[in-house]
Amino acid sequence: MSDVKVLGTFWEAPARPPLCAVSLDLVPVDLLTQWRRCGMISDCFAEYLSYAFEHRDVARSILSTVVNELVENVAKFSADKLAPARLTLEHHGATLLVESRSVSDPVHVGRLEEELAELAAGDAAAVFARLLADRRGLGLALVASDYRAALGATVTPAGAGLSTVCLRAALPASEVEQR
Amino acid sequence: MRLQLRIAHTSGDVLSCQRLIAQVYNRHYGVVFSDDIYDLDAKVEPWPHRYLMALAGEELAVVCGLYLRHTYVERFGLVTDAEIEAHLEDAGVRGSYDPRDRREVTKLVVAPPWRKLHLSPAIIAAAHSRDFMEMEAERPPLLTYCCVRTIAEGIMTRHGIRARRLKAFPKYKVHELYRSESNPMDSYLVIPAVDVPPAYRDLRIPGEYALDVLGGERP
Repeated sequence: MSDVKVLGTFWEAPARPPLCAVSLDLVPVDLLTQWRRCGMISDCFAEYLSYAFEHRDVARSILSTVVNELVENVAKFSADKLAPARLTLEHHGATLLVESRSVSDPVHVGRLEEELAELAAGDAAAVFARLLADRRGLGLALVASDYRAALGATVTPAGAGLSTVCLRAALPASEVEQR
Repeated sequence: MRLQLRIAHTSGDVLSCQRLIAQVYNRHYGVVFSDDIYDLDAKVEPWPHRYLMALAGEELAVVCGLYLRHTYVERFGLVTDAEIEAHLEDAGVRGSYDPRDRREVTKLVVAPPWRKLHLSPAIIAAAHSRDFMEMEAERPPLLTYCCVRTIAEGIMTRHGIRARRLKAFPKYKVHELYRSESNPMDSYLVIPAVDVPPAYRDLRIPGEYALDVLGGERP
């Protein structure tokens, strides 16, 4: 376990099983070959979990947006596009967990470390505004800024200089329930 | 070295071609693909309609795509029918071709293990064969490319295929890692009957060929 590095605000899921959960194994290259698949997966996950909420349309829209950011992240930043990746969406009562697990190279891990540290330390809306001004990737900052999601990751050596990155967005269920 | 050429007809063949292209294009240019949507500024490109495969033994070594319609040259290169017509006139073949019947060679990719073997020229030559570029056509079409200048010059000098420069290709984000100031991107036209040597026009596909027959030996 000592080889595992924690980045940002990594939400530890409780020991008890989630109230509702869906997960999917995929091969990142399939997303590159048909980019619409990112949206299909996000919509499917969101639709699945939306039945847990009174305002299903609102839940579907928010969850789809958040899941889509992590799906696109997997597509873009997997070091080996043929190595399986996993996506998970879970309802833990007060918290909704969106998780991706994929293999990344040191360059991406470095960028992720920087961005997650910045989001954990500062004002997510300010980070978002700065990234927007710099015309850089907005995905994770948007999730943190718009939905008060806590973002964190674990990085585990996977051999050949690569790492398995488990990226988590922990979203307050109230963000979905109160809109 | 010998290459087996065939056109991708099965879903398995098409997927193999798309996977190879997507991996290489994403790694080098950050591009992704879709059949449903495209957005050159978001780096989402449309897939070609057909693929030519070159296999070394059982392995897919090189692939090349073909747009049967909606070519980049017309959609994004803003080349008009009248501009094509003017080139047909210059070549003395006005009336032999319909300027609207255009196809485009695109997305040429060599699989990483086969790099440095000069396989790209081989599949470029094969892509000019009637069996590939005229497939499913009611009458012989014209051929277009949009590519950087060094590629077009390479096609001319190596194969003797004349690529007629149409105009500069507008700048899109999707090409930011492909083109440069010193190697600009243009739209080109090939009039098969007068611009392509018969040896390539008459190449039969499927078929197996030595690399030198396809102009693919090291220069």
